[in-house]
Amino acid sequence: MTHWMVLKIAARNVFLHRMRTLVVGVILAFGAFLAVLGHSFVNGISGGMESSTTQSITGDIQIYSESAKDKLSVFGNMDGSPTDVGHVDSFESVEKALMKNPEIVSVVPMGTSFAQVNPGNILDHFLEKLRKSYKSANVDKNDIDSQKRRIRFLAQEIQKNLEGKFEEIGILSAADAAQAKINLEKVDQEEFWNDFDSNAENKIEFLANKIAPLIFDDNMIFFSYVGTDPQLFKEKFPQFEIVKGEMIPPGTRGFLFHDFFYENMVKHRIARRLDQIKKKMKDDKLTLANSKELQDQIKANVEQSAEIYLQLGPAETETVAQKLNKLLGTEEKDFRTLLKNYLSMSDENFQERYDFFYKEIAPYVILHRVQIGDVLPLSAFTKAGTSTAVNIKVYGTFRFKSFENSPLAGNFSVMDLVSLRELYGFMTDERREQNKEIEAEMGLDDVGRDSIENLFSSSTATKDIKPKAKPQTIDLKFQKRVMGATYTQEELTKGVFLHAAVFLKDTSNVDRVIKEINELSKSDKLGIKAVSWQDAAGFIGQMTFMMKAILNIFIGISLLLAGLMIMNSLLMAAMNRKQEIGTMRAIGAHAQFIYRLFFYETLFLSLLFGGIGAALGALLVVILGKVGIPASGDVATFFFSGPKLYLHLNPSLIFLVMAVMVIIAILATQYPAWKAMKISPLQAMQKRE
Amino acid sequence: MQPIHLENVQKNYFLDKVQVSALKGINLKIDAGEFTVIAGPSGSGKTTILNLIGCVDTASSGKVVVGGKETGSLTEKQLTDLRLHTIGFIFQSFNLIPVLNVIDNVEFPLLLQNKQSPKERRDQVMRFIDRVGLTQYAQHRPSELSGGQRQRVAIARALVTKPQIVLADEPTANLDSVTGQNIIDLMKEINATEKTTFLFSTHDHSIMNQARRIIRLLDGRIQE
Repeated sequence: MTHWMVLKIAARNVFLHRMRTLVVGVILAFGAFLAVLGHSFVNGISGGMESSTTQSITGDIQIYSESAKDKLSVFGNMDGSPTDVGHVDSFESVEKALMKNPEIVSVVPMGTSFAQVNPGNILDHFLEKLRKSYKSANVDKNDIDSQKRRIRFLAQEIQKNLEGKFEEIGILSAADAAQAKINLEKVDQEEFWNDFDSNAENKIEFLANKIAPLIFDDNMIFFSYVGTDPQLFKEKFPQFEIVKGEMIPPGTRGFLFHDFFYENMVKHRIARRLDQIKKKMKDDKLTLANSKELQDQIKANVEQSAEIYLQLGPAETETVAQKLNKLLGTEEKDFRTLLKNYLSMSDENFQERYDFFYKEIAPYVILHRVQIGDVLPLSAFTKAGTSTAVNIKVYGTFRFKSFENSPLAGNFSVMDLVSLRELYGFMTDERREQNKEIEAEMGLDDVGRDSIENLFSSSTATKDIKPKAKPQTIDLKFQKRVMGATYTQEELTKGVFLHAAVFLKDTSNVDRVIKEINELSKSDKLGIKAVSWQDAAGFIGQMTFMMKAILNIFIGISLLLAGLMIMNSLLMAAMNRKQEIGTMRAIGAHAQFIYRLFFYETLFLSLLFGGIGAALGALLVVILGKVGIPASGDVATFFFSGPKLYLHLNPSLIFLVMAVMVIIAILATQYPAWKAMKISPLQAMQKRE
Repeated sequence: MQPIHLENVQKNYFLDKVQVSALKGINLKIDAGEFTVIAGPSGSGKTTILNLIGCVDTASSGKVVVGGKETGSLTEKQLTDLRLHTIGFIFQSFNLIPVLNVIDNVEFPLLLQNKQSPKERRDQVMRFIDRVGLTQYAQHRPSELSGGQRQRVAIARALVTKPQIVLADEPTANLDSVTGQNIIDLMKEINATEKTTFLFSTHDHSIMNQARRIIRLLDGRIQE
C-alpha cells in the first residue's frame, strides 16, 4: 500500500518541478528516441549488408588457407586490390571433411579476383565481325562488301574527327601524328579497298593496329569476379537468377556478368547516363535545372557524342538525322551538331528525347560493349608477377533476387573456377598434359612444370624457339589452349581453391561451427581456417560494427548526460527537501521508504519520457518502414543495399531501451537516495518562521 | 508503568569543537493521560528533551524509556517503528507534505503502519479530519490552507494512529494568539476524550497556565 503513496508523492514531485522535469525528460526522451531510431537504422543497414553479402558471396562462414599471407577480405583491400590469401590444395578433401559436421549444409569453392578488360572499340568490333565473315563456311560477298563500306565510312568519320586536331592531341608525338594522317589518307583511297578481299588478313590487321587506336576512347572495364563451380554457386545462393542470356552449361568454361554491373558499367555510356538521369529524376526528384550532378552528365553526353555518330553507318546517319531534325524542329545539315543539340537536354524535353534514344538510335548502336556470346579476353597478373590471359565466353548476366539494386550484391561477376586457376597459374592435370603437348609442338626445351605462367614469363621468352615451329602454329595451339572449353567435375573438385563459402543449417551457430572447423583443421591437417562472414567481408564487415559502436557511444553519452542530470537534480531535491524527508522519518517512515521515494521518482521520469522517446522513435521507424529512406547517392545506395532502406521495428529493441532506462534510473538514484536516507529525523525539528 | 520515564539523562553535543551540555541529569516521569508543558527560555533544553522522548535523538548517558522500551538499546529500525506506533508529532512549522492534500497527509502514518484495510483507514482519516473541523477542506493542499488550518491537519495526522504519546514542540509559536488558543483547546479536548498523553513545549505564559503540570527547565536542569 505504501508503494502507491510513494508513487503518488514521486509523481507529484515530478509535476511540481516542471522545468527540471522537462529538461531531464527531454534528454531522456532524446536518448530513447535515438536508441530506437538509431538501432533500427543501423540494424537495417547491417541486416541489408549481411543478407546482401552472405547471400551473394560469403555464405555464413568463409574458409581459406591457414598459411595465408593476408587476412581474407573478399571485397579486396580498401584500395580495391585483392588480398593474397594463398590457396588450399584440394577442395574435394576439405569438403569431405567439413560435410561430416551436421551443421554444415554445403561448401562452395571460390576464388575472387579483379580484372580489367579492354573489349575493343567500335572499329575493333566491326573488324572482328568482318574477320569472322571471311572465315565462315559460306562467304556472303554482299554482306562483306556492306561491312567494308561501313568500316570505310567509320574511318572517314575518324578522319573528320581528327581533322585539324592532330596537333591538339597530346598523346601523339609529331611523327606519330604525321603517320596517323598518312594512314587515314591511305584508308580513304580506293586502292586500299580494291585488293581488300585478296589480302584481307593484312588489311584488317592494318586497320586494327593503325586506325582503331585513333578513336582514343578509354574502353577499359574494371570488375571483380569470383571463380567458382557455377552450378553449385547457383544452387547454393538461391537468390541467383539469370537475367540475360543463359546459365553457363555444366562442365563448360564461361563467364556471367552481374546484371547490375552490366547495366551500369558495360552499357553504352550515353544510354547509361540517360538511364541514370531518368532514375535520379524519378527516385530523388532531381531536376536538370537544379542538379549539378545531372547537368554534368548531360555535358558528358554532349562531349562524347562520338559514341553515337561513330557507331552509325551512312544510311543510319541519314535516317537518324532526318528524325532528329523533325524532333527538334530544325534543319541542321551537320549531323554532329545536330546530335549535340539533341543531347543537350532539359527538363522539358528529357522524357521525349529519352524515348527517342531507345526507339530511334539504340537499334543502330552497340548498347553493351561486351555482348552476351562475346569472348572476353581476361588477363591477370599471376603471383609470380607475370601476365596470363584467358579468353572466356560470356554466357549471360545474373542477379540476386531482391538484391537487384544492391551494389554490394552486384560486386562480383561469376566464372568457372577452372579458368580462374588457369589465370592464376594453378596447374591442373589436364593443363600439365596440354603443357607437354605445346612444349613438344613448339619445341621448347623446358616449360615450367608447375605453372602455366612460365609459358610466357621472361625466363622462357628469351629461350630459342626452334625454327620448325612457325608463329601460326603457336597461335593455333594458343587458341586451342584457351578455348579448351570444357572441364570435368572431377577436375573442378579435385583442384585448388582460394577460399570457400560454407552454409549452415542455423546461422545462429556461426561462432560454434567456426570453432569446430578450426579444431577439425588442426586435428585433420586440412590447412584451412574459418572466419565469419563479417571477417571475410573485410572492411565492409567492420563497417557495420563501427557504425553500431559510434551510435552506441552517442546514445551512451546522451543517456549518461541524462543520468548525471537526474542525479544532480535528485541531490538538489534531497537537500531542498531535508525537512520534508526528516518529517517523514520522524513520523515513522523507514530509510527504505525514502530510498523508494527517490527511486520511484526517477523511474517515473525515465519510464515516462523514455517511453515517449521510444514511442516517437518506434513511430518514425514504422513510418520509415512503410515509406523507405531514399539513398541519396552511390555511397548511400551501397550502405542501404539498394535505392531505399526500409526499417523494421524490432519489439525487443523497445524492451531493451526501456530496460536501459530502468538501469539508468537505478544508477542515478543510488547516490542521492543514499544521501537522502542519511537525513536525520531531527531535520523535522528545524524551526522555520 | 509510565509511558515516559527519564533517569539521569545527560545530553552533550559539540559546537565548533566546544562541548556543550544541553541536559545535565534529567529525571522525569510522566503518567498516562497527562497534559504536560515543558517551559523555559530558549536554549534551556526543551527541544532536546522532546527529541530524546521522540526517539529522533539519543542521550549521551542515562536511561530514556518510551512506551516501555529503553531507547538506548534499540536499533535505528526499531526506533523508527517506535515513533510510528507509539508517538505522534506536532511540529512548530506544521511540516505537512506539500504535494499531498489534507486527506493524504493525515493518511500518511496509517499507510506506513499498513495495518488496516483501505476502507477502515479512509473512515478513520475522515473521522479525524472531522474532529479538527476540516472536512470541507479535505481535498485541499497545505498551500491552500491558513496556518491554523495547517496545524489542525498536523494534529489530525499526529492523532490518527491513536498514539500513546503526542509530542508537540512549540505548536503555537507560528500562530496568532487566538488561533493558538484554539489549537490548545483542541489538544486539551482530545486529551480529555482519548486519554492521550500530551507533552509540549512552549514559552507562552498564557498557554503554560492551562497545563495541569508544568516542567520548568533552566540550563539543562529541571526547576519544577
